[in-house]
Amino acid sequence: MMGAVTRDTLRESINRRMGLVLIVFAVLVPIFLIGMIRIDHAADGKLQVTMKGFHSLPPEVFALSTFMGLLDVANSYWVLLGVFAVAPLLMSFLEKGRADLVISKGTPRWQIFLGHFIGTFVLYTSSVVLMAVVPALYLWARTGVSLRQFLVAICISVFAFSAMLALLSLAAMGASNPALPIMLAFVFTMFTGLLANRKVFFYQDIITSKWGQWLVDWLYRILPKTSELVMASRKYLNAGVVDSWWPFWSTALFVAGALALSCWLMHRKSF
Amino acid sequence: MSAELAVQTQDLEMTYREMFRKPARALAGVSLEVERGVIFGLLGQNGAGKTTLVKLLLSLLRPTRGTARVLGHDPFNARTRRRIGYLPEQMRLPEYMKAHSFLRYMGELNGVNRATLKQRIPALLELVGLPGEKKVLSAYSKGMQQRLGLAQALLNEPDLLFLDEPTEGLDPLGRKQVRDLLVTLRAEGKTIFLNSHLLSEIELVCDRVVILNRGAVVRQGTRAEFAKRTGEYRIRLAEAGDAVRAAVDSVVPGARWENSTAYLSPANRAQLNALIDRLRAVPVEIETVEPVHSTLEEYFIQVVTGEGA
Repeated sequence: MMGAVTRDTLRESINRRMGLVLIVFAVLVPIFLIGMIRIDHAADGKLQVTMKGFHSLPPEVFALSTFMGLLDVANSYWVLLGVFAVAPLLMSFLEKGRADLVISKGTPRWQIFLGHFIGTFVLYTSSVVLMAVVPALYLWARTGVSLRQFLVAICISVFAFSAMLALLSLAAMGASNPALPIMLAFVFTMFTGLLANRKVFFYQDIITSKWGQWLVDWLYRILPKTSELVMASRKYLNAGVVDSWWPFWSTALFVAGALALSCWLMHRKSF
Repeated sequence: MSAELAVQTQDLEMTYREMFRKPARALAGVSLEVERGVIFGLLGQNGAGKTTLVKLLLSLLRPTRGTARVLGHDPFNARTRRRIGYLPEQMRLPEYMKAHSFLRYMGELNGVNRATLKQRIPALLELVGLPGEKKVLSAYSKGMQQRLGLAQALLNEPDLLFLDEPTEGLDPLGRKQVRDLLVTLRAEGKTIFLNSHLLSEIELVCDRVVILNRGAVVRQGTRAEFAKRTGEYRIRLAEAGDAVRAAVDSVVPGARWENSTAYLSPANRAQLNALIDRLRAVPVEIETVEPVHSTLEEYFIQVVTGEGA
């Protein structure tokens, strides 16, 4: 039954245009990128990649800069597009008249909630795969450059978005329209970077009291570490190493906690 | 709490609480029992608490106090809800779907398997008068939406059916079809909980009726009990000249006349017989003599305005 909810979320995303827009953009990126590059052999017989208007580069160098560009898009613009696309989907089944139909059926509420969460996550992940992984696969097929580090970095980026999605879902339980969850997501995106560097931004001038710093420290510990995950994904693409697992497991804990809390709120919610 | 009952509530209370607003009590200790296999009518003015009661029985709301059981179980039990069908009053269909895909989704939410749905959906669309309908739901008229809503409520072959204003938006033929359908479902042993402000609809099909007023049950009984005799008689005569009217007044004074029909309240049956004898002596031809029953509408108005208290 959760599968039926997930399928319906995907179908709704396409029919209500927001998912369609995300997928169309995701398809345009590889078309544009693949159309812009030429891969051929240089006079010395070595493979070279040329982007229209730029110098030819060795495949490894070109691939790394392209991967970095795609990863940066996935970590920034795509997250914003994703938030706009998924927020209404997370809430559509809570609308008056629609909830009466869906919630009164014999599917437990937590399954309805998680079905929507999974549906939106699948939508976002599919768009990232189309946008970033397809051109990377093309480069790999034509030049043989390794994709492993890029794929892991993209997975980290998608994981960071899942934390955003969990936060949106939690906010959706208490909101009557998608505006509040969307605003919260934007505020959080700005705030997470500040929290990660709280000692520089806050502790020197703004928050000097011990209890205030203690509070901010706990806020940092509880909330997902998306800005650090973004940095970790860049680091992994460049060096193939993870400096610290703390942002990973603490964010995973937040996602699990936020989903559990959302399920409980959903269970208690009146329609 | 009995498992033999389709619906049972005890002291069910519901108070809506919202921030910065005064609490609003929608239900004030409602206790009622609905036997299985009957059509049960829930009557009340706007804001009487009818929809709140239905939502509590479907676990869409949590009661402030009291208990509710449907089919012998807690309505919050998902397995129990799979045996219930519900047509909401304010229904918002997913406008991007078509009838077939919508019904499949609703069926899947109720745990109906795909093979069964494949058989049931075309049959149900035929039953509600939407066979082979290919339009997206955004193009549906109110009446078509209502028919589709009815189909989704019947999809899981429910033992208990909650219908909130089921004939809303339907034409007279559609209303008749819905009434006939309800009677058929009752014959199959289903229980139907009908929430309607159309008293004539309820009068035509319901076995038992409850009247809610300001969140409390003010009357409950069978349809026959509600349509009780008023003590008034209607005497239809061939003509009503001065001699006839004088004859009537001489036996039962205070008759009300509508053309050649007299409405009067004799003290007892002997007085009525005396009147008939007197009329024959005039002479005048008596076409019919019948007791006047109050309609459900008249009874309802008496109850909610306090005239019948």
